[in-house]
Amino acid sequence: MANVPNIEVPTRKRTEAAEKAARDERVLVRRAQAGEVFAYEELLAKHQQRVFAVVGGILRRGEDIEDVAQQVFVKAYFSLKRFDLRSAFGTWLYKIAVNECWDYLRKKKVRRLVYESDLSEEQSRQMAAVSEGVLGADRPKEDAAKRLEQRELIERLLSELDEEDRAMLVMKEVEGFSVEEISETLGMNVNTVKVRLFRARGKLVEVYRRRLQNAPPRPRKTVGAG
Amino acid sequence: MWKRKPIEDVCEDYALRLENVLEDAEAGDQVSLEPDLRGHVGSCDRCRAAFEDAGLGRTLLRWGIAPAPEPGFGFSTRVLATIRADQERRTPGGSIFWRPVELLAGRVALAAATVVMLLGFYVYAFVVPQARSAEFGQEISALVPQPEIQPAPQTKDDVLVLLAEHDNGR
Repeated sequence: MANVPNIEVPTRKRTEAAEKAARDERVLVRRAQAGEVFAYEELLAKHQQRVFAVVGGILRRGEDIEDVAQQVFVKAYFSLKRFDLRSAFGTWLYKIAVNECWDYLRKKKVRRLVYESDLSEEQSRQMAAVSEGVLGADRPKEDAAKRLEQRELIERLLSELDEEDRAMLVMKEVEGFSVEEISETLGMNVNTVKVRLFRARGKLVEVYRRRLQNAPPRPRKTVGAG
Repeated sequence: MWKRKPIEDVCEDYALRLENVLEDAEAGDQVSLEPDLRGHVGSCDRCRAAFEDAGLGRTLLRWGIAPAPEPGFGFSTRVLATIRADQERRTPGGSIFWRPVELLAGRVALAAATVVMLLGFYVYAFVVPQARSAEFGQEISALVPQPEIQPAPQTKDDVLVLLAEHDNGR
């Protein structure tokens, strides 16, 4: 039998490290449940960036993100005694974050903004330049202001998607969540998440193309005779 | 007869497999479409467009969407301050000094009420019936005339008189 290289050691070490981290976290959670504020503060420090990522993925408005994230941690603190440690603390916390975001959107009665033929000539140029900037082989040095404007345009495209699709796309493509983490956080089956991600990317590009088509045509420059 | 799956369900199956292909490509694995998958993408406009657009969509997002902001300076402090304020709001009359006193007073009151209840039960069950039976005895003796108690005979003549009276009564 040929020697088969042992490729399991790094995997095993990662698994052991992950299990140790999970055990340490369970100890912290139990201490926080017993009333130790310092333990909760440690959990807060560990998970705050990801909570911001989840809330930011759904709300997309900077001034709301910190308020909602703060509510998430306060709510989690007062619900801590009901947490039975069956899932990871992070998963439980991100579910609270998602629910707080939906409640916040319902209260604000946020309607999906539809930008129909709202693009100016300049904006349509920027929109077209996005794909050139993204896909072009030679990417010229980007002007920061232009880049910011292009980002705003893509945010507008994203705002036309369904809230859940938007959250999934941002969590996956921008914030680096795995499909399994997204499925646990949003309470969906893993395969459902994968199919929705696949479809949502397509919808985003569809919206992008529609914007380009609906954009006002560029006025023709007339050259003076003589 | 075999029931054909609706086209949407068929595409859903392929969408899942295509997403897996994209994930594997993302991970840097060498991927190729399986023959049936390649065949479906070739024949289904919807899936072909989605597969072609998936890469552009992913790139648009990664290039064009900024990640969420970092928590501001002092975020943890603000959260803990909010928690403390909420805790005090939830505790009625929430003074740190008086709260233990209130708790202790509550417990003492409960103990006192229990003792009073037990005493009351004891008095009702045992003391009152005894007092009632003593009263009852006095009432009965008032109704029933008590026989006169004769003094004990002092001499022999007293004994003879007593016997004679007794015989007369027979």
